[in-house]
Amino acid sequence: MRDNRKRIKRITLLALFTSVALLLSYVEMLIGPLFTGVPGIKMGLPNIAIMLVLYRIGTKEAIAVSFIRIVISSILFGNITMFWYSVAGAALSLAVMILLKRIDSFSSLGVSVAGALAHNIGQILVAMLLMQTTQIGYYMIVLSITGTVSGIFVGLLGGFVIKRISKFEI
Amino acid sequence: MAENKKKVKNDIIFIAAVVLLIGLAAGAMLLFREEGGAVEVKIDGKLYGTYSLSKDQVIEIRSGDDYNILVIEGGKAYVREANCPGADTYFNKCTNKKPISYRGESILCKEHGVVIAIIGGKEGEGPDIIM
Repeated sequence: MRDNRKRIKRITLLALFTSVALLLSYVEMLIGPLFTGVPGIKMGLPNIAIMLVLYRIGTKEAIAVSFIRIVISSILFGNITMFWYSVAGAALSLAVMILLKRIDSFSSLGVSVAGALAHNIGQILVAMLLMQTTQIGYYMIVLSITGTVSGIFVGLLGGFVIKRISKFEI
Repeated sequence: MAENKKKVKNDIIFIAAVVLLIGLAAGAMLLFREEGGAVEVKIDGKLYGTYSLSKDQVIEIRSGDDYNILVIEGGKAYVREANCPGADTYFNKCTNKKPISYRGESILCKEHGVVIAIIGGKEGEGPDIIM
């Protein structure tokens, strides 16, 4: 009986964070171009929710929430091309963030910046693969600048939220 | 708390290193860039056509229902119009890109798999290899 309650709590919490991440994707879609000035370049707001799950619940859970968020937001706001770009970006970004968190010599700020840069690299790699060209490597410079800035922004916000919310007992 | 400070210090060192690297890369690109001679258009990795930059022209890139209108004007190339949905995630929409003219610069139309890139060719006339 107790075990069952724990599981329900866990499922509910993760569903909640998934919807927060999804909501952040939507907010980002609405205000993204406004902030960066360039259409298409995003800030990575959903990463605030993903980082909170990573730091306060666990690694497996962060991967699950991130993946489900991408599936749903691709269905709602995008298409299959967007899905592949997002999955590659998120996979690389999560891998780097998990690794850096394990190493434990950076705070959430550094982890977030590294995650943002890894996200860009993942997307560039998919673009190279899908379009069979290496020309777009040049984009990496522009994307690194926006990635670093948005990584700092998201990292500060995420760190703030992580500090204020204690570990969940699940 | 002391440990936390050390971590933040590491963060700052890391971010500073990234910024420096970006600066170096951007600087190197500005220093070594050279004017291109021609525009190469590829769709899904296959060559669609090569067009000289020294001649003003309007090129319609078409595959099925997809189209992109490429304009070459005064040695620069840009995409004036395209019928792709505006769902691009990370890269700018091709019609929002600044005109390109330097070797290696490119414009992508992700939805259509179109890559428009500036290549060398000193005067941009004729093919590189003459058989």
